[in-house]
Formats: sequence, C-alpha cells, structure tokens
Amino acid sequence: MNAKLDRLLARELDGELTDVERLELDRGAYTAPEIRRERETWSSIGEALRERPAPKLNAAKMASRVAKQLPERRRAAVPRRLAFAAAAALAFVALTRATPSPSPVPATAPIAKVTVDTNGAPVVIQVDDKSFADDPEPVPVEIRF
Amino acid sequence: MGWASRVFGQRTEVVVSEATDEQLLEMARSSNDEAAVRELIERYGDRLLAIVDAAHGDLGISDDIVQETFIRAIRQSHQLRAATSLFPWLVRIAIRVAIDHRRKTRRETYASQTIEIVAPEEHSPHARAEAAQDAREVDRAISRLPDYPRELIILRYFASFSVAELAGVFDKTDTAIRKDLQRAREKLKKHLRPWFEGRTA
Repeated sequence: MNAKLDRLLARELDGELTDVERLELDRGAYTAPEIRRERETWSSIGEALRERPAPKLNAAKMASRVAKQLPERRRAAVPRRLAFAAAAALAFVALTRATPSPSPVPATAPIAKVTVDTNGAPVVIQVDDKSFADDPEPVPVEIRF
Repeated sequence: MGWASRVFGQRTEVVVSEATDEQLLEMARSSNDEAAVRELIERYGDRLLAIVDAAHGDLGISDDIVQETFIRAIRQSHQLRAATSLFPWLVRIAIRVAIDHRRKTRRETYASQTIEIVAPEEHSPHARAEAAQDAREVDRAISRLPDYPRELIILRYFASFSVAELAGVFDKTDTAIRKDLQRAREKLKKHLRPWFEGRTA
C-alpha cells in the first residue's frame, strides 16, 4: 500500500485530516483501490456503530436515585466536625486541670464526660501542648464513642 | 423547568435549565438539589449511556455505571478545572467506574430500572434489518477486543471523540493515543476480516 496514502488514511481515521490532505487522499484513493476499500470499510463500521439502537434514560428516576445517594458522605462529615469540637473542649478542660487551682479535684475522678456520635467514622484526638504533656500527674479523661 | 436555587453561597437565584454545568454541579453538591441533578442527567445522560452501553454491551450494568458516574462527578465536582468541558470528564469517570464494576461483578446481568430502547426510525423495515445486522456484527467484533482498545474504538468512532479528548480521558499524550488507536484498528480489522476483504461495493 502507498505509505503516504496510508498515513493520510490514518490521519483521517484519527479525525485530524486537513482539507488539503483530504483532497490528496480523495485523489489517491481514486487510483488505489485497496485504500478506497479500506476507507469505505471504516466508514461502514462507523455507520454500523451509529445504527445501534439508542438507549434512553429516565432522567427523573435516575435523578431521584442519585439525589438519595448523594448526602451519605455529608451526613458522616457533620459528626466528625462535632467530634473535633469536642476534642478541643476536652483539651481545654485537661489544660485547665493541669494548672493548680485553689480547690483541687481528686486526681482519679474524671472531670468531663463528652459523648460524640461519630457515625462510625474514626476520630483522632490529639492534645499537643508542652505544659500538659510535661505534667507528671496523669489527668484522667473519659471519652465515650 | 422553573426550578430555582441558590449557588456559591450567594443570594443569586438560578433557573436550572439556564444554569451552566458548573453551577448545576455546585447546586447538586452543596444542596443536593434534585432538579439540578436531573438537568445534568438530561443534558448528558443519554450520550453517556450510549457510550457505556456500546463499550460494555449490557444495559443493566450500563445504567448502574451511568448512575454511579453522576454520583462521583457531583461529589468530585471541585476537581473539575474551569477549562475542562464536562462531557469528556464524565466519560473519564465512567471509564473508571466501569473498571471498578468489572472487578467487582464480572458481567452479571442486572435488570435495568431507567432505560428504554429507541430504534432508529428513518429507514425502511428492510434497510433497518440490514443496518441492525451490520450493527450486530460490528458489536460482536468490538466486544471481542480487550477493554482499552474497545473503549478507544467506541469513543473515537461512535462518540466522535478527538485525539486530544481521548488523551484527556485516558491521561495519555496525543502521540500515544494515535499509536493506540492504530493498534486498536488493527485488532478490530482481524475480527472484521470479511468486511475488509470485499464486502464493500
């Protein structure tokens, strides 16, 4: 097969043929039956593909199903935010406990109880404070999930 | 359609049928606006379904893939860059969903809930039967291709994607896509040998 016509046909099949190249391919295909046949065959394949029956969606039904499934992740995100707020509150309480107060609470009794609904999502609570971390007395903190 | 929603946290009222794709995605994502979801599906659902169905050949699965594609697209809409047009991006997501689906289910059959088939009507019954026969032969040949060349062929010759759009969908360079298309055509030619050996006039 003519290499140049072959390259032009490939460019046509890639959808990248310019008008000038198209004319060149038209002229070449006129005298090269194998190129003509290949070109016509690819055109028939394209037509056959476009003849497939068109499936049609019921947009209303699908929209309702999509809309129902969309909020699932957001629902989990709200308790997580609450959990972080609770963690901050805990850290604050723990720090307050670490500083000496005029009437100290017994070290073994929990000073705060926080219940957080995580909806199954893992929550990491990190208290990163030097003065608290260095406190030789462990501060009891009760967390229930 | 007459529906209106707030977008981008401003007090801008937007009629869904006149909203841009980006506005619709934002409305769907931020306020779960079903009208916005429906408008997106009406704009792109049928084209997407046709491509997925042509590539995978099972309407029940294709229906699931299209639905999951819209869910992922809405959830990930912040990743859509302004310069990117929505449809190729949806196709890109659909291809990933299809890959996940293939891993999970291996061609089980599903009963479609939202699809009806519309046959082309512009031909005579005889011409329609011939065209349908051709379509079946091509379908069969394409279904014998591995996943990637099959998707390339469908997107290029059924959905008329350009090389640049295919490069975007498959995250490859234009040059790589041209080579892959050439290989995919060679593979398809083997499965449609009689077509190339003289069944054309």
